[in-house]
Formats: sequence, structure tokens, C-alpha cells
Amino acid sequence: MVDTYLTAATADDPEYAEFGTPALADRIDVWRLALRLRLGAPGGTVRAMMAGRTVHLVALAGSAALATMGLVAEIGRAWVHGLLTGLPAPPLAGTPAPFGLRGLCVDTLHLLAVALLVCLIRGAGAARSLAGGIFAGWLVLTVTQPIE
Amino acid sequence: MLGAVLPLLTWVGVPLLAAALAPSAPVTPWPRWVLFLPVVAVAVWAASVQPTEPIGWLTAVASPGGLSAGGVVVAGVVVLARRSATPAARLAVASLGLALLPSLASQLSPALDHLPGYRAIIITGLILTALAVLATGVAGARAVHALPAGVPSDHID
Repeated sequence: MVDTYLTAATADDPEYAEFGTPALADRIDVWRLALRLRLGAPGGTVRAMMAGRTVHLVALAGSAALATMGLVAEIGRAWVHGLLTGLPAPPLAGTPAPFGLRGLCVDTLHLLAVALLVCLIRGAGAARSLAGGIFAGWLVLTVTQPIE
Repeated sequence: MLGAVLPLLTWVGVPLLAAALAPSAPVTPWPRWVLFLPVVAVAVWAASVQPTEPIGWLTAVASPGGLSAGGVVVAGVVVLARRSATPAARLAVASLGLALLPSLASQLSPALDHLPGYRAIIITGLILTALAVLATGVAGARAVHALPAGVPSDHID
């Protein structure tokens, strides 16, 4: 696929092919496309189709788990801040941490996990961008303040 | 740092990588078990916050790792018990369980050792999850190995 890409991209200038090389982003995109085609393409082998279904199930079940954990975390946060009617806030030693930028980021990532699950169930193409965004967000949050 | 990043790369990264690679096709029929997960998780969490004094084992079960381990073990039992379960389902449970193990291991922090029973529940969860990974992984791999190699899928069924 990389050869095909290079042939098509440098068709007007064959000499450029000696110097030009696809960027890392292009290589990753071609690799991802090749893998997706191999995993889910009609006419693929039985084992490739099975691998594709496995990946799909891992995505679906894993995203459902992440969305569920997000939901429980949000309910827990609301409980700590005394926002749940009928369930008084727990007696904590100190005051709960104020809701700052980090809290907003965590809430957004939990919400995006639910959106990712919906996209996967509906087969929406936005799932790929959402998955990348959620992973980048958690990576930044973890690196800047590791979870105890 | 590695202790914080490794669980992220596995338990969070594996499903998200799969989501990026999964074919963009609607799931039919609608997977009803997706609704079952939050209902059970919220119910367990609600039970864990009712006592005035925190109960160690209940806190461990209601923690993200405990809930996830419970989900993997139950899913493993279901896909092993049901004859109609596909090899893909068994391999998916094995993959998610494997991805969960570093996250579970990271919960063995001394900070929560004062809760009696917490450590025992997490260690039990680790062992059960590892067994579920082994059983579903072997069953799934055997089923895949039995499939004809190199045969296009449209020549089957």
C-alpha cells in the first residue's frame, strides 16, 4: 500500500520519488487502513473475519466498561459534593477537592466515553477520532498528575 | 510513573485502540447487555456507600478494578458455558481480561491496606481474572485453530 501511495503521489514527478518519503502520519494512516481492511473486508479469510469480530467486540465491551466506570465516578463525585437527593454526603475528614479544570477534563472524558459507545453501536465514523481524543486526554491527565 | 501509565495503556488503551481499528458498521441486534453493565455497577456502588463505616471487601468490590474484574469473570463464565458463544467472544473476553490485569495489580497500594479485606478481594480478583483469561483464551484459540486457514469467509456457511 505504501508503494501504491508513493506511485500515485509522485506520478507527475518520478524523480521526486527518489527524495520524497511519506510523513509518519501518512505511514500510520496507511498502516491503520491496511489493518482495518484486513480485519473487516468482505472476502477476507475466515480467520481474518474472526479477528475483525474480536476487535469489534473488544471495542464495544471495553468502551461499555469505560462508560460505566465514568458513570459510577460521576455519581460518586456528585455524592461527595452532596448533590444526590436522598443520600447525604459522606463525612469526610476534609472538604472535597474543589471542582477545577482537572475535574472538568475528567467529566468531559467520561462523557466522551459514553459518546464513543453510542458511536460504536451505531457504526458512526466519529468513533476513531473520539477514541484518539479520549486516549490523549487520559494520557495527559495521568502524566501531569499520576493517580495514587 | 510506569505504575500509573501502564494500567492506562492497557485497560484504557486496548479498548480505544480497538475502537479506532474496528469496522464502522452498526451493531445488530442492539446489544442489550450494554445497559446491564451500568445498572449492576451503580447498584453495587450504592450498596457499598450505605454503611456508616466503610467495609473493606465491599469497597474493593465497588472499586473500578473490582467491578471490572467481576465483569470479566462473569463474562468469561457466560462465554464458556454457552455453546453458541463465538470464538471471537471468547477471545474478546481474554483480551480485555489481560488488559485489566496491570490495572488490578496497581490497586494493591498500601494506602488502602487499613480497610480489612480490601487486599484479599483485589488478590482474589487478580487470580480469578487470570483464570478467566487463561480459560477463554485457550478455548478461543482452539476454536480459531480449528477454522480452515486461507479460506475466504464467503465460502463458509
